[in-house]
Amino acid sequence: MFAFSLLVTCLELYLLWDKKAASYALFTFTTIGLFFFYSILQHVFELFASGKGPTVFSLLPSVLLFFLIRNATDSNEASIAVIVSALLRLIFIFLPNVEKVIDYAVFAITPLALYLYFSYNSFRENKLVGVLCFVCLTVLIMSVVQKLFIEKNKDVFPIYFFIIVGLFSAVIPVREEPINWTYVIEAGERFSENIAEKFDQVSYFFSDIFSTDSFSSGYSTLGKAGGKIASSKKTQLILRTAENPYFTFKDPVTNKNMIRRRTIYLAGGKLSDAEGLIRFAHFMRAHDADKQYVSLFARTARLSIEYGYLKTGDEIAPINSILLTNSRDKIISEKSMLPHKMGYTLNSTYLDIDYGSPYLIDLIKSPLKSAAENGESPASNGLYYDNAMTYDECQEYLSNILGIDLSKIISPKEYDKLISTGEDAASKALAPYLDTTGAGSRMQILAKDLTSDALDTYDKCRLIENYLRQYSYSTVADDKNAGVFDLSTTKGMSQMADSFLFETGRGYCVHFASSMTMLLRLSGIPARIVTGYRYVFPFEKEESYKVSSANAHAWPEAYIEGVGWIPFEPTTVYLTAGDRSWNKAPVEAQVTDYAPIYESVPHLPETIAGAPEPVVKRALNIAYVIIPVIASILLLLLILIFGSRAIDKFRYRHSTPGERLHMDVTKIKKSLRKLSAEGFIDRGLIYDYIPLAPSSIQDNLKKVFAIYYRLEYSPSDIAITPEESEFVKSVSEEVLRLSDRNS
Amino acid sequence: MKIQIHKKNLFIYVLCLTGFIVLASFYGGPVSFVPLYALMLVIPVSIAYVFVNYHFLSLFQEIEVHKVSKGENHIFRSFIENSGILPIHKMVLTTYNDRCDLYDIQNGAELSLDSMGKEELSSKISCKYAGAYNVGIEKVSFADPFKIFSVDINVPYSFRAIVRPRITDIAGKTLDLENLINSTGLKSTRQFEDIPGSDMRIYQQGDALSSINWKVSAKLSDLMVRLPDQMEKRHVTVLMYASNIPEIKWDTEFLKKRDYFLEFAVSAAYHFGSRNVPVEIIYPSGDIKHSIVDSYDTFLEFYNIVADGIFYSSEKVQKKLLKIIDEKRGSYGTGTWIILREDCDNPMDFCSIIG
Repeated sequence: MFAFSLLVTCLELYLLWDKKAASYALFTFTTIGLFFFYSILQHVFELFASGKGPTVFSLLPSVLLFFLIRNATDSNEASIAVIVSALLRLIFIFLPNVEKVIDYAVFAITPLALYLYFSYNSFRENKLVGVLCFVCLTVLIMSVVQKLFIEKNKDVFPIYFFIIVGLFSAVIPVREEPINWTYVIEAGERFSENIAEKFDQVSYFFSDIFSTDSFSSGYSTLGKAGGKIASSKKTQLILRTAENPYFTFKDPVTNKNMIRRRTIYLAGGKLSDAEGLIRFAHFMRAHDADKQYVSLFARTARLSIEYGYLKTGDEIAPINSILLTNSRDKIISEKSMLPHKMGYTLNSTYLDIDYGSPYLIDLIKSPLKSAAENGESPASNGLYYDNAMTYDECQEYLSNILGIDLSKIISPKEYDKLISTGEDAASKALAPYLDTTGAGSRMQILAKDLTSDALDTYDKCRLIENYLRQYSYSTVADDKNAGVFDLSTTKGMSQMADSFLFETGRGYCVHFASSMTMLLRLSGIPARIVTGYRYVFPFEKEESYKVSSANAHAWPEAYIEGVGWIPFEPTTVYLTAGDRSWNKAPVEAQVTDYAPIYESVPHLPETIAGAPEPVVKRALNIAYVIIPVIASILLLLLILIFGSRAIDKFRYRHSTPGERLHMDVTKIKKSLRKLSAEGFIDRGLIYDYIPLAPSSIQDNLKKVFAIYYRLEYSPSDIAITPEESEFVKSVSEEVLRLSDRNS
Repeated sequence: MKIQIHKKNLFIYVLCLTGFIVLASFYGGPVSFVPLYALMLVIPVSIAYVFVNYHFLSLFQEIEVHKVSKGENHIFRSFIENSGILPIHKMVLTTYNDRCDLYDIQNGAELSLDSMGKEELSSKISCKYAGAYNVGIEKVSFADPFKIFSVDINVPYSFRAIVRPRITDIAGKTLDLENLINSTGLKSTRQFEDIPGSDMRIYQQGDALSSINWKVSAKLSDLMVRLPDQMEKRHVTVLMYASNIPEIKWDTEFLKKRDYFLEFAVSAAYHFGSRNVPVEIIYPSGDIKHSIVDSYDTFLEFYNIVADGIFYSSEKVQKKLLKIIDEKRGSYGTGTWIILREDCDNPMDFCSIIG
């Protein structure tokens, strides 16, 4: 493990110098593999010989390997790996006090690895190598810390334990991203929300007893005055719908299936908008839009809205609601005299319109274009009611395109009254939405500058919207007059817009909404602020969806003749209609007139002249390398076995009789150990060996050992006789024969 | 099994773990997650390691003799083997040092064993109390590498020593036993009255001439001798009312009481046996047993079984014994009853004499 971590860290250092080095992982694993190979080879050789011989012999195949690999492949990395592994092995063999050196070297390598990781983004070339390197370092550090600090360098806990820990750590997938605490935070939030809800319930019910107006919530006390707001997260509305909270579409750029959450705008203090529906029907009819085409940007949806911690008499329903009922009957007033209590429920059928759809935008813009082509003023494109449908026609048409039963929404009498509204009456009705009281000259100049290049009303709206979206969003409005603006008046709106646009440059939804409203009016477009909620559904379908006071919102709506009121989203932090579009497209490709700016297709890069031809590398023939290596190992084994025997014989022949006796006794002991069953413990008593021998040679062994003892412990002048020497040799050979036969 | 948590090391461990959690909350990749995983795995792997070590641990204990005597030295051997592939590191041996002295194996001695390693420990042992109880090595203790916790586990095989009580004179000193003995009462199977009785048999060589009943001999034309009656002394009964505590709850206090109880009973039995005076000993040994000690041999029989022979097979037996005591307490003149109560808080209540 130390060799691996040392190698990888050194390689990372090398990579800082030579960034072109390739096959990093292959090189690492080859080197470590060869390192193990040499170690195993050494242990095998040690079975046949002792001393430094097996160590040197175990490294000899590396020379052969080097040349074979060099000839077999063009890659230098494999041959370098052979040399590096042999060098590593040599270091580990000949380094004095290698264990102690490793203990302290780990403390040097680890900080170096950390430094490389954090400062140079190292260890990211190959994930497996990086993980294994840190697993090795962790295992070594744990082991060394245990040894030095727990055991005080006396007795080490078995390394197997740390290896097991390391193996498990290596198997568990390592995340590239930091720990995501979102789930824990969410669980904590849910817990705290539950507690807060209990308190809210208590305070809600007590608020009736002590004061009827003291309960605060996002909608009813939304800072329309433009001061600092601190939104709470009290559940003010509970929405229920059978529909999916998201829609799917095919991304036109990536051509991948995507999922997008639905966004709903709930307006407060409004009734069902039958007029809007009739206008929409006529708008569609004027363009001969059929059911299939309408479905690209409009659909009928249903939603149930239950009031939570909210005390208002306002009816709160989705924009473009066409039918509003409570538990008893149809709602006829946009505001109740008494505030609704918790649990009050509204059922809404509404037109869900994708205002970002290019097909709808195409329709919105097209009559204006045609009017322009006819030489008419862009602003006077006429009312569609000039060519109004009869009640029955409208009913049939709405039923056809949206499946709406008109009779449930409006009676024929009311319908006739509505379509008979003249242009003057309509203009009179829109007049309050063009009021620009309090708007200063700089705001007028700004409105003019922004819309001067626009071709039509819709473009003006979009230009103003896009301009405002450059402002910063902040719930802390840096305004000295914060909190004193009265948004219910045009003057208040103008003041807020002026302050926001030219002084503070930051604000929240009311600042954006009031500014856009004023700029639209200054551009001649009827506009208003709508307050309510903006809610984005979650990705997963739930039984109910909680709309908190944090979702309270204000947004502007612009009136486009012939189309009606269209909402816009100038508040920077929220997506525009285009960004949250359904992205629906007809089955057959249909070109829309509305063409957003597309980036031109980049030209293909020119073919680089003189580029080098790709090199086909020679693959490494494994058999070409392995067979000679195995053969060399076998050869080395033979050399070791016979060489060691030859050396022993040579030494024996040129030794003194006393030395020969020592050699013979050592051989006898070794052979007897082989003969014995397992578990023989050498207590240092030579006579313990006698029971291990067959009874036939035990007497001879006793004699041999007696000679040995005599020579070992007697005065040095008593030498061994040649006969005794011969006798000892013969006994030694006999024991050796027996041992060989037995094995 | 007992788990001990070492607070200081646990605190350091939690601190390190928290540090790496914080690191992993800011940086991903192996540099933060690998050490975090390793730290998180230290404790579960340690627990697994301890159980693997314990599973493969074999521990055998023996004493050279079958029954030992209280206070005498004997050779104790313990053979410990690790048959697993994972080495055992610094296993702590806890001995029953409250009830026996192991001279060469210290309580809390540490022992490491390699994979497939074996170790033989031997020592002189001296048991402190009479009775039958576990001696030698009681528990082995394993710890994790960082000494965050340690687990004490009872050894797989405990050695149960049967320790005979010492033969002393404590009963003779406590009770005035001489006064309890007279010439009437229980008949001995071995001792006979000095005066010949009514039973007769044919004369055998060696019979005293004075024992020949000449009248009967004349009638039967054979020499007939009168046999002496079996000796009758006053009926002395020792009832050993042992406490009925499950072995698992035997503590030093219990062993001390049992030691005194046995020593007292043996002392009383020896007193009677050595004087060839019969005494009946009633004691629980599964069921209620009656032994008559009237000689040295019968004393030895009792002595050999008393060390490990005192126990109840059921609560019913204990109640039966208690009933005998109650019955004897209300009646007089049926002999002398010496009742020994093992479980008594007041030493004065240990022995009571009825009759």
